[in-house]
Amino acid sequence: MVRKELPLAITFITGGIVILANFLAPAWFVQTNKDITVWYQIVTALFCGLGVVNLCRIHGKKVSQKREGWPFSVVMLVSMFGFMLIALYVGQQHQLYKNLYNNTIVPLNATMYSILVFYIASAAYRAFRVRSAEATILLVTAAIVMLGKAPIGEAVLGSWVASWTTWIFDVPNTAGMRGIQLGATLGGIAMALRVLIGIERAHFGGTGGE
Amino acid sequence: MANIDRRIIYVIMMLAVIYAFIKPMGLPITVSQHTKTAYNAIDALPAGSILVLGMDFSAGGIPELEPAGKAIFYQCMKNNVRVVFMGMWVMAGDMAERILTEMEPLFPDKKYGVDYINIGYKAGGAPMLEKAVDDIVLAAVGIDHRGNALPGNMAIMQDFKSLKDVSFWVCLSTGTPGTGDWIRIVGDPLKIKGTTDIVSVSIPEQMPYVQSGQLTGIIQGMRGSAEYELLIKRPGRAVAGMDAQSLTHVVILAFILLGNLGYLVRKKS
Repeated sequence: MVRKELPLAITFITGGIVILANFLAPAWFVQTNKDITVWYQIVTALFCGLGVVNLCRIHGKKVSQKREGWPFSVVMLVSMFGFMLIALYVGQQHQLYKNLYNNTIVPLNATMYSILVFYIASAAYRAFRVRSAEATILLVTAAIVMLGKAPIGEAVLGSWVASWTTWIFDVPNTAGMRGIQLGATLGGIAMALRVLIGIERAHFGGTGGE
Repeated sequence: MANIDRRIIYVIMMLAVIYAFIKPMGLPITVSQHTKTAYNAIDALPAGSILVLGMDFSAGGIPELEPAGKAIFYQCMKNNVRVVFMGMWVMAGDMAERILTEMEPLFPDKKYGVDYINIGYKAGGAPMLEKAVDDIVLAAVGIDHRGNALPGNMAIMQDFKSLKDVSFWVCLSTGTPGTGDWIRIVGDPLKIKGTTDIVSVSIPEQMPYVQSGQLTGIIQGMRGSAEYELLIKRPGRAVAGMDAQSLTHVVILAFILLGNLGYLVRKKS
C-alpha cells in the first residue's frame, strides 16, 4: 500500500494542483503551485547529493573488489572529491579553481562533443547512398545545406546555395518539424495523463504499465 | 571506394581541421536575415534596460555558442544595456565567467553588480525559471555565482527583481532545458521578446518558433556566431572557425561522393 498507492496519490494530487493552477488559476492552487516549484528546486538540488552517494557506492565497490578498470574509478573519485574540496576551500573565483576547471573539465567536455565530427563524417559516408528516390532527395538536400552553411559553398557556387539552404530550413524543415513537435506534445500529454492516473508506473521501477 | 576504412576518414578530417587553422582562407561570410533580426532587436534596446543571457550549455557548446555570447555582451556594454547571466545548466556560471574574463578588461568603466551580474547555475531546471518569473532572489537562493549575497547592495538588483523586469532574453543553448523553456515560461506569458543561439544540430527544431515570431530571429550555431561577430565588427573565434567548417564540409561531401561512386560501380558489376 505505502510503496505503490502513496506515491500514486502524491503524483495525482501534485499533478492536479499544477494543472489547475496553470489552466484555471484559482488563488489557492496558484499559491500552492508556487510552493511546489520551490520544493522541486530543493529536491533537484538533493539529486546532486544522491548522485555523489551513488557514485561512491558503485565506484567504491569496484575499487575495493579490484574489478576490471578499477584504476579509472580511483581517478573518478579523486577528481570528484578533489574538485569539491578545492571549490569549498578556495572558492570558485580563485585562480587555482579556475585553472583546474578551464584546463581539465572544459577541454575534456569539449573533446567529447567535438569527436562527433569524426563519427558524423564516417556515418555520412556510409549512410548517404543513392539507394532509392527518397534517399537521393535526402542526399541532395544534405549536400545543399552543408554547402550553404559553410562560406565555401557561396564562394564557389554563388549565392543560390545560401538562398536554397534558407528555403529548406524555413519551409520544408519548419513544416515537418512543426508536425513532429505537435505529435510529440500530444504524446507527452497522453503520457502525463497516464502517469497522473496511475496507468503508467515505470517510474516506480519494474517494467511499467498495468 | 564503397568501403574506406573509417580511420582514413578520421585522419583526413583531422588534417582538414588543422590545415584550416594553420592556413586560414578568409572566405567571405554573408550575414543571414535571421542573425540580422536578432542583432537589430538587441541593438534597439534602450540604454539602462536589462538583457538576460541564459547560459544553458556546457563546455561542448563553447566553440559554437561562446563567440555569440561574447559578441552580445560586447554589444550590450557598448550600448549601456545591462546584462544578467544565469542558467539551468550546471556549467552556466563558469561559462559566463569565461566570457567575463575576456570582456571585463575591455570595459574598465563597467562594474560587476552595476552593469552586469553572474547569477550562475541554479538547480531546478524549468521550475527554477518559473520561480525567477516571480522572484529572482528566491530562485537564485540568495547568492550569485561569485558568492555575493542577493540582492545585497548591488545596483542592478534594485531594478532586477524578477524576469518580468527584463527587456530581452537570449538563450545560448545546447539542448534541454533551454530555448523551449524560455519561450514557454518567459517569452510567451510575459510577452518579452527573445532569441536563441543554438548548436547547429538543434536548429531545425527551433525554426517553427522563428516563423511564429516566438523567437526574434535566430543565431544559428557557429555560422550564426561568426555572422554576429561581423555585425559588431569584431571578428573572433567563430569567424576563424568558419574555414575549418568549410573544409570539413567539403571533405564529408567528397567522401559521400566517393561512397556513392563505389556503390554504383558495385551495383553495375
